[in-house]
Order: sequence, then structure tokens, then C-alpha cells
Amino acid sequence: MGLARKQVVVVALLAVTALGYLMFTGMQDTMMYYYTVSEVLGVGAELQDKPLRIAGKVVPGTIEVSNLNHLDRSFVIHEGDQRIPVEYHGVAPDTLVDDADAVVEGHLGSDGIFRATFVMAKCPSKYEGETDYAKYREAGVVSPGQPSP
Amino acid sequence: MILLGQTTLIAAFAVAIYGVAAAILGARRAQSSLVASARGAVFVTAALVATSTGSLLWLLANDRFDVRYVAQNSRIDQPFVYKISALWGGMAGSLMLWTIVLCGYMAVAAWINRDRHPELMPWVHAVCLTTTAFFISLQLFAANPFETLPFMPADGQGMNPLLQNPAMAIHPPNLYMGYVGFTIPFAFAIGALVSGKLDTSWLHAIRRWTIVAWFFLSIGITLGAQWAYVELGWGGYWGWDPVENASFMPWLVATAYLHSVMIEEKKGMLRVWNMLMIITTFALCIFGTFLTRSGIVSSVHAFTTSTLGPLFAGFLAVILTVSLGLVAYRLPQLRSKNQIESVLSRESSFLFNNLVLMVACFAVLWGTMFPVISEAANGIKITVGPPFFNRVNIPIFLSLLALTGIGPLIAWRRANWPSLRRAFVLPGTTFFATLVACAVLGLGGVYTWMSLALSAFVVATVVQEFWRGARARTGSTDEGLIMAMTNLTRRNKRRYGGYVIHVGIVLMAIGITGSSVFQTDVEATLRPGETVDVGGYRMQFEELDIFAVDGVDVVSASLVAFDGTRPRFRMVPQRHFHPRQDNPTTEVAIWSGLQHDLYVVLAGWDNNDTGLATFKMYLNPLVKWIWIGGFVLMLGTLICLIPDRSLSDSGMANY
Repeated sequence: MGLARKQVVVVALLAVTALGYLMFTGMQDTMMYYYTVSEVLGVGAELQDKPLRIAGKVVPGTIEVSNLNHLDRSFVIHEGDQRIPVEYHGVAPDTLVDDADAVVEGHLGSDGIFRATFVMAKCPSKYEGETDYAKYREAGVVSPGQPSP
Repeated sequence: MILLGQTTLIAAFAVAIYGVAAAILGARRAQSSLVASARGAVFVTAALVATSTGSLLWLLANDRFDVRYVAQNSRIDQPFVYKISALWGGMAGSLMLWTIVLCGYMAVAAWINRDRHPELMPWVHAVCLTTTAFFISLQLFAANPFETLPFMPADGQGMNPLLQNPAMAIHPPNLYMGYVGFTIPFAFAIGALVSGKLDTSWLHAIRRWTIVAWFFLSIGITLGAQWAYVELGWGGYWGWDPVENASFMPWLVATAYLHSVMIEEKKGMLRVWNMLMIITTFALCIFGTFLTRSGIVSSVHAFTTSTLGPLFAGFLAVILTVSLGLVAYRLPQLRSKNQIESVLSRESSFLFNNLVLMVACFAVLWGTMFPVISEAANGIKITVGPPFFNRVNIPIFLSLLALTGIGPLIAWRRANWPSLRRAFVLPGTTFFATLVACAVLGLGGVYTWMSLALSAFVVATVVQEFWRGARARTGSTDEGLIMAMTNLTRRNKRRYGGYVIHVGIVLMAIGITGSSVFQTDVEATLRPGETVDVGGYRMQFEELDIFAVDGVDVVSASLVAFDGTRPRFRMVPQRHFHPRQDNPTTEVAIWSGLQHDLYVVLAGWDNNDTGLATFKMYLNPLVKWIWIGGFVLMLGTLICLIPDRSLSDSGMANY
């Protein structure tokens, strides 16, 4: 191997080592457990005050928005009959509605309330999910008997 | 029309399969009639898929809600453009768009090369048609766009209102033109590997294709960022979301390839590496298409979980096994003809540029897939968010920016000190001057100083390159400076077009630095007449209005921005309630200037008579520079793509 090649390899190794270091420290400082609602309740108290990301579904009728600033809101996410109450301050995504699939990031307090700093939500019936045509039919949007031409 | 669409799709599948067989047999037995038949199959497949896509468009345009896809993605009141763009608003249709774009590309490639590259073309046809057949099979067996409903709904559900946006109407086609475009270079690479014709002819054949695909991918990514900025209402344009990352990764690898291929063309080095770059880019394009549809990572704009996952994973496995196997098989023939002579050379600076880009790609991939990796490794899902990506990528991209400036200044083969000193005086001085200026002004932190100083450095290099080249011409000809620069660019389009692209990247870097470091925001709940200050503006809330337009209920707030006591402009953030959609959509108000954007979100309001409304306002400095940088980048790429008439026949076109 020529000198030039050796030098190039050394520089490359240095660069890769630097990246390894960056990624390693980056991971340590920013990683976050990702659980579902029942997993969180299963693990329990030891998750308190650790950065956490939880996936669940919004319980219909639980979304409450403050009338003072429209930015403080609370809702409950569930998985089956397991539930976690969530509080969030900020502009919520439009898709945060009843039954939406929600992912919240934040901390679980000792009072059992999850204080979210980030909320992501996906609408229940949107994209390619199963569309409930029966609902359409009831609403009169659909005429059932009509033959498809 | 349903029948026509369905039948032509099935026929296209059959013809594609036939074409693959004919191409492979033709190549193996050296029967040109079979190869010609395979080429015919390419055109027939393309025509059939075009007919099928046309049928779906017709069904969308004519509100045929008995087709499930139409019912889910369109409605009677939907503006006509969005009825058409609904073609890529859902899963099945987006797969169809992929297929039709691929068909377009492969037909053009087959036509252009009808008399060229006889050893490569059969394999190019085979690879393109296999990919086409795969995407058609997804539509036939997993997500059929022509699936009918047992009844005729009176109206459809409508496309997700978030997708009803001009940027979103053109972003997916651009992204797909990019993603899919890399199929052609990949097909040529496979052709070269299988046929053993590994000289530079395949590189010449794909030169334009890679630039075109890279061009569209760049536009697609930029438009995606713009869509997120305008439509998602969180004040930013890039969130390191898996879907964004999916489009960014092939871009990084393709960018690396576009640089390293120059070394192969000039010096015959890095041949295995370039082969791997092309394969990786294509694999990442397929992976990206898969990631958005598999449901394996949660994302804001992913399609839902579906049966497509295993199919894609299988296809990806086949691609990687076959192509890496071929590279291994041809390894002896792919040995480099030359070696790097000095660590201080253009070659090695390009090599480092490649390394850094690959490292960036790996970091993005790692972060994106980490939940999956950690779950597979120890059963616990762990995610890393934007902080991870920013921490890792900021230093990476700063070093990339440095290399962008250094590369053009270093000579090929071996640089000597006197020439280095001469080349670096102006850019180096600019770098340090900017660095000191930033430090004295106290602009942000060290990263900010470095980013701005390196940007200035790159611009100085580009200016110097143009200046020197032009001076050399004015010395030997009687051209004026401007004329000399134009001719200079015309003589060497890839080089000078590339420099223009560098300027575009710098503008984007400045915009990204400005908007991420100096963003300020404020939340305010106001009564009509009350004001709030944001970044030098005084915003006065005038009134809340509620009305209906085209079947959409609109809640609209109007604010006036004062600069001192002088009213400057009005901003109208809104919330739209679309019929038959579960959620309202936020329509942010953006006032955009060169210095900064003012970005206002209507966060909430009282339904009773208090008139209270809550706003979130952001002052985003320099965001516009990102979009301008995008245009400059497009311009530079177009310069690279201008055909060179006089030289094109000799096969030496503009390089």
C-alpha cells in the first residue's frame, strides 16, 4: 500500500471514528423508550420522569381545551381498557380527534398524568384504513340499492 | 372504463413478464430478433400501463364512486386539479404513478439506445420490465386501484385536505420522477455486470439519467419541505420524519455518486465503489417507497399498515442479493487502473466527500430504523428524535460544506504548495473574515459561525473559479468578461453547472442555519383590537370571521402587522372544516421576505361572544433563502443537462 493510500485510510478511519463518537453520544442523550399504553402501565413506576414516547388511541369525548388560551389541552389515550391521561400545552395537530391514533412524547408524572411536549396523531379513517360505509349509508350519503353502472 | 383499466393492467403484467424472458433469452443466445421483441415489449407495456392510468384518471375525473379508490380519494366538490392529483393521494394510485413514471423512463431509454449498447440493452430491458412487473403485481394482488364497491356512493370521502395544496399536487410526481429515475442507471449497471462490458460506456449511457433523476429528487425533497412548512403548521419545514428521511437517503448517495463518477471517468479509479453507489441508490429508492407503505415506522404521513411490506422486503432482498452477487463475481475485472497519488489531491477530496455523504446517509438510516433495530435486538422499542439527527448531522454537513469549498481548489493527482497557497488566499481570507465577523457580532454559537464562514468560503471558491477561468479566456481571446464566463460555462457545463449547484446548496445552508438558530416564537390569546409583539412587528388582532366557501366552513382571523406605527401588511390565518373529514385543517398565514418570514397559526378561539382567539406566531429568519437556493440548484442542474451539439457525436459531450 502506497503512502498516499495509507494517509487516505487514516483520514477515513478518523472520520468514521468521529462519526461513531457523535452517534454514540447523540443516542445516549436523545433516546427515548417507545411503548404502548399497556406496556407503560405494565412496567409502572420506574418509567416515571424518563423521556418516553407512548402510542395509543384517543378516548372519544376526552379531549378538553382550555377556554383561556386554547393551548392547554388534556385527553386520554387508551389501549383496550388501559388508559393514560395526557396534558399538553401547544398547538395540537389537526388530526388529534376522537379515536385518532396518537403518539405522545414527554414524561410520566408521579400523579400518573403524562405531560407531553410533542403530540403526533393520525386520523382514524384517513389514508387507506377501512372506511365505514355503513356510516355513510346511515347518513344518507350512499344509496345502497343503486346498481353500479 | 373499470374493465379497460383492469384488463390493460393485467395485459401489461403479462407482456412485461414475456419481455423479461425474451430479453434474457435473446442476450444469452445472441438472437437480435428476440432482443428486438423485448424492446417491443417495453413499448407495449408502457402503452398498456398508460391506458390503465388514463382509465383511472377518467374514473377520478368523472366521479365514479363505485370504484373504491375514487370514493376514498375524491368527492364531487373537489376542485378538478385535486381530482386529478388524487391519482397519487392514496396507496393504490401512488403505486400506479410509480409504474407509469417507470414505463415512461424505460420507453425513452429503450428508444434513445435502440441502436446503441447492444450488449447492455437486453439486460436494461430485463431489469426495467422486472421492476415494472413487480409494481404491477402489487396493484393486482395487494392494492388494486380498480377494486369496485358493491354499491354506488352518492359522493366520495374526498382526498385528505392536507394533501389539497399546490406543493402537494406536484411534490409526489417530482419525488417519483427522482426515485424511479434511478432505475435506469441501476439497469445499466446490472447490464454492465452481467454482460461483462465494464468499460466506461455504461457510465456514459447513464450520465444524463443520473443527473435527471437527481434533479427531480432534489425538487421533490424541496417541495416536500415547502409543503410541510405551509401545510403542517408547526413553523418548520423538516422534522426528520421517516418519510422525509426516506427521500433524503437516496439523494445523499446519488450526490456521492455524481462526484465519484468523475474520478472513474478521468482516472479509472473507484469502479467497485461507483457500482455500489448506483446499487445502493436504487435500493434506497425502493426502500423509501416501501418505508412509506409498510407501517414499520410511525410517521406523520405514512400510509397505513398493509400487506405490501413482505412483498417489498422480498423484492429488496432479491435486488441486493443479485446485484451484490454480480459485483462479487466481476470483482477481478473491476480492479482500479490507477491509485491515489497524494492525500492532497482532487481525487482524495472527492473520496472524502463520498465518505462524508455515506456517513450522513448511514446516520440517517440508523436513526430512522433504530426503533426497529432495538426491538429486534432486545425487544424494547427505542426511538431517537430530531435532536439526534441534528446533533449528528450538523457536524457532518459542516465538514461537507468545507469539502465543497476545498475540492475545486485542489489539483488532480497531486497538489503542490505554491499552487495551493495561491488557490486558497482569497477563499481562506473570506472564511476567516466571516468567522471573525460572526464571532464579534455574537451570532449564535460556534456551529453558526462555522456554517456562515464555510458558506462564504464556498461562494468565494466559486467566484474565484469563474473569475480565473474567464480571465484566462479574456487573455487569449478578445471576449469581454461576461462573454468569457458564458463561453466558459458552455465549454464545460458539468463543471460550472456544478459550481452553480454549490451556490444553491450554500444558499440553502444559510437559510437552514438562519431559520433553525434564530427562530423566535410567541403565543398569545387576544381580544379584537389587542396587540402582541413578535420580532420587531406589532401584531394587532382585528376580528374573527366565520363563513363558508365551496362547501368548506372557514374560521378566519385577520391581523395587521405594524412596523413601528405604520401598518405594513395583513395576515389571515384560518381553520378549515371540510365536509366528511374527521378533522379540521389549519391554514397558516405566511408573510415572506428575504430577511424573515412571519408565520401565524390560528390555534383556537371562543365559540361564545368573548371574541378571544389564540395565535402561535413564529419569526423564521432566512427561510426564503432555502427556496431560492432550491431554484439556483435547479438552474445549475439544468446547465449540466444542456446538450452539447458540436461535441455530442464524438461521445465526449461536455465532460
